[in-house]
Amino acid sequence: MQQNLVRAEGREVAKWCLAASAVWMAVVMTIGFIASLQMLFPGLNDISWLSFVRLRVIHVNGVLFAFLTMAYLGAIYYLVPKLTGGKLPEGVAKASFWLLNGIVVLAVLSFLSGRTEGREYAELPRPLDLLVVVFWVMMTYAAFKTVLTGTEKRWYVTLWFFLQSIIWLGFCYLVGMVPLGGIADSVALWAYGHGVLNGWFQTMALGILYWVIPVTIGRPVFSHVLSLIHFWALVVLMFPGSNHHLIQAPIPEWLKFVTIAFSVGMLLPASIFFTNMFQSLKGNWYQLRRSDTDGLALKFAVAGVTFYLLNCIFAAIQSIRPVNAFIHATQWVVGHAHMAVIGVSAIPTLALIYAAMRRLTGQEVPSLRLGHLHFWLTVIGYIGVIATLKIAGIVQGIHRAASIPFEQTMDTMRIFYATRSFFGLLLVIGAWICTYLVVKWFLIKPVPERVTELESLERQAIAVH
Amino acid sequence: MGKYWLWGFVYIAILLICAFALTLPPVFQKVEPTEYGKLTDLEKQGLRVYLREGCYYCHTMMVHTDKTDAEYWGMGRESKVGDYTTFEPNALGSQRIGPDLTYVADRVPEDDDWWIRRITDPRSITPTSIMPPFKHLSQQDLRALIAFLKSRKNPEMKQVEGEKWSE
Repeated sequence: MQQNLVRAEGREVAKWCLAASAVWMAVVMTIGFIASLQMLFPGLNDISWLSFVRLRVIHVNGVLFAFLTMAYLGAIYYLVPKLTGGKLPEGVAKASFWLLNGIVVLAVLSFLSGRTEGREYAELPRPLDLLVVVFWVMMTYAAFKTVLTGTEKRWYVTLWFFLQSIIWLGFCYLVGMVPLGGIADSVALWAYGHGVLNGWFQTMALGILYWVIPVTIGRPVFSHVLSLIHFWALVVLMFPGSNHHLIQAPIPEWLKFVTIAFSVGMLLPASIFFTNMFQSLKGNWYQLRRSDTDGLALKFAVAGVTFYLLNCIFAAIQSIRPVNAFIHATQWVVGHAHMAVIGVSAIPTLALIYAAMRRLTGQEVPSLRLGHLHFWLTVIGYIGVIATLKIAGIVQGIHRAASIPFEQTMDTMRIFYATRSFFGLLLVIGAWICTYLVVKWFLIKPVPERVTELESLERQAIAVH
Repeated sequence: MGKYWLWGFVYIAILLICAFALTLPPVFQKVEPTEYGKLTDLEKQGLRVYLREGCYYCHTMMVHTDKTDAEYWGMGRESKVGDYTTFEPNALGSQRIGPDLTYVADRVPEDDDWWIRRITDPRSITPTSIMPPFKHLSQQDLRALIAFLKSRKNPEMKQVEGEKWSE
């Protein structure tokens, strides 16, 4: 009983984080949709504050920090106390939530007025960079304080992933913050730019999947040992692959070799993960047909695992040199960015939002029908967007190989931009549906008895054997 | 508990070793700037405008080292490390929504009016362009940006032209 009282502290903050994340998700995805329309109707760029370059920065940073990081913050404050049995320092946790929201608002204002560092993925101006560092220190303090007061002797794999992601985020952010000169700047920038995707946006999502799938199907993962092997293989292999963005840049040849070898090597941890996940789902596929909140969360989680498999295969192939020479600087790259961020990070995060909101409030999703509509809009929109962009990239690559002038390529791209905007619209409609559901959920009165009941059901699924 | 902290330290050590091994050698590598890489103060200011306005989201400033650009598209000399020594920070770009600008000055008119119109009202020159109009730039910023872009010339091309002249 004591432990349940202790854990209850994290729930309130987590609920706020997930609701805020859902609201930001709809906002920043709408901004991305408007930016995609600007590529079709250049007249929309006439107001300088709302031109493509400024909306694009807000879209990219917004998805990464306002939507995903906010949800991950909720995941940390909800799951770390649960998995360690520790006591979350509530004041610090709440303060870090408000600080992150403050950073997002200030960042939007500074991007709209054109104040950026001018480095892709590291656009935040210096004062805001420092606020992010303060935020990171608070989050780290809250998480590790919980771990230190924890009573659990054996750590579930989700906890491993979360703690390494927290350390990694701070480390990567510091590397990316410091502008250097020349090519060294690119090397450091992509060490951050891809390192943060690998080590924060990907690994947090993996930790989330390791929690969502067992608790929604009500059975533990196939092998906990295998999941720990996955974890260690991933952390050892993940960093040196970061520079595969620079295979076409004049960086030293040995660095290109290392980065390609490690990028392809990432298939190893990925295949361990799929073995583990699909073995866990074996005999449980019928649960995808369940029509309840957990069934919906499971659908998102299984979609996440599948898209992650697809993404890893693509990622390994496109870092090989001849392929890379063909697709570099084409729309393929944009396609891959969406493939990774939506498929690997956002869809598992949506699974978390549905599974966690049920356990945080003790209430079912306000409308299961709308939830399913959100799922199908997301999946169809996602596949549409990435397929369009990848085909566009291949066409652009063929044009380059056939020595077709660039002006002609630009005209050919229009049809792809239009298709992308259409599928993007489906994603945006899905996002607003999700926001509506989560805000409604957030406002319903929680049922504490049901919360306790669900928690005790969950314990056997995430027990470490 | 102790066992976990030990693992934590091992892990952080691996992380730092990887970081140092991969990031720092190129950082300390001193490379002389090539002719392309020498920027005047005004051009450096122009580079900052180029980055601040986000030009690099749609334009690259790099010719691929893997032959595709140089051989098929005839973009000319491949980019070299020395090209970017004075670029702080870099402007390589990652995406070609618009054309590559590495040697842009070689293929467009020289006069400033053309440049000003192309930047502040792109569709008055290229009707199909989807570039945003950068009307909000101050005179000073515009001057610096144009100076920077006009200096983006292929150094090898100039030599070839020089030879032609001497003939």
